[in-house]
Amino acid sequence: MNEEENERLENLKKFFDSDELIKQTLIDIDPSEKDDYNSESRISYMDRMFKELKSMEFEFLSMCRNFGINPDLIKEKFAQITEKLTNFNYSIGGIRKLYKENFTDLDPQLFDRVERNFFTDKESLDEADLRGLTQQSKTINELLHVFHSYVTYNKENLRSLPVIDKKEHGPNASITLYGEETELAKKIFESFPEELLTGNTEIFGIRNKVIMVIKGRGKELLLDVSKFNDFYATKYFFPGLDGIVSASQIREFGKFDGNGITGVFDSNEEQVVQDLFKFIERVPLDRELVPESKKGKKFSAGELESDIVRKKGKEGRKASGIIKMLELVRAVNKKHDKTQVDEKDPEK
Amino acid sequence: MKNKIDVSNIAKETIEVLNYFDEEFISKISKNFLNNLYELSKNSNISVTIDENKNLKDQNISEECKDLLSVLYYRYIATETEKMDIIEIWKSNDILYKNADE
Repeated sequence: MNEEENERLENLKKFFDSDELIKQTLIDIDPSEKDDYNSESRISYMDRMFKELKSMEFEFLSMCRNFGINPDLIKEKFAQITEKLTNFNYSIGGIRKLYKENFTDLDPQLFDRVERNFFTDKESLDEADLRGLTQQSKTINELLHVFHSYVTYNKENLRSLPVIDKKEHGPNASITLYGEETELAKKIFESFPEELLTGNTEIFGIRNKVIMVIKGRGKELLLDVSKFNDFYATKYFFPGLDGIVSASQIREFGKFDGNGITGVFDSNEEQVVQDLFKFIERVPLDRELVPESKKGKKFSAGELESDIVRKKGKEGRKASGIIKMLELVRAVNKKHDKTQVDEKDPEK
Repeated sequence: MKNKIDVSNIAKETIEVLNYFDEEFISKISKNFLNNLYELSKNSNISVTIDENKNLKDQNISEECKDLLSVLYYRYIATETEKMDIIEIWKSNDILYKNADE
């Protein structure tokens, strides 16, 4: 392990420590009935809130420093929250509302946007996306999720960690273990079945989490195995083939979010590693995503235009048929989530 | 409006045909639309066979599928000038089709 790799590992550990500290602080400042008892107790609570806000800002700024992120994003966000707290009128019941709206609420749509931008097969993550999602965050909890995902799933960060071990896997691939030699990461590395076909596999161990990037399955399979008290949650993503995946190949998986297949499953301590390998085996191999018969045969827009769209005569498209089809298109679009902006249909 | 199963069948047929289109065409179609179409297709049990030795116009696909593909072309590929031209063709075909029935 060289000095640079060691420093990166230490930065990542500090990041997770900060992450935990902020989460704990959010829990600690959950207001009780006692805090809202009278104006004196509310004032005392608000003093504590300001103090903890300052300490959380400090943690976020450390994250920025350690990962080369522009700190202005954080300063701006915390200034906005501070202003809201400053303008609080100490009304009865107000502190709970203030707490939720500035500290703990987590908008599910923001959550999904973070996942779609950061928990993907992208080789590098764009700080412009981080900036955009930070601006959209309204609470500390949302901000934490944005930063957590940006740092945790940034492959450049992960691959700069020290390599603990590496072994051959099949004739053309390898498995590499990076980061901290945690019990879970080591167990996954050591018991990875030889007969489980994959391309190059990377296992990143850090604190109570293991991130895996597996080539050769689903185009690229990304896994996040995280420990929560007495169970493990494994989150997965793979892009499949060009955003269109055959129903027969993926019917058993969870949601298709427009970028790829995503989902999550739980395991207990005894089963987590076996469940992981069983799941990996279910993800189609790359060669299974593109059946042999589909290779090489491609229709084009030009062919569609000349042979079908613009065909004249009885065999051509008729306005009456097209109108009926527009009804179908409207029905399909009604399922569209109105809070998302579709770049190709911005006026929808 | 067609019943739910018909709609699912059209969706599935279209998704399967789209699998054979080049990336240049597919990339222009809204991913959200494709995703929703795919979700709709899950209710269909039909089997779609594309003959890779035949051109698009010779494939055994339904008129509804061809209509939907045409709508996608119109919506995502055609320029404003082309759209006007295409609408005129579709209107003329309607008249010819009606005249043929009379």
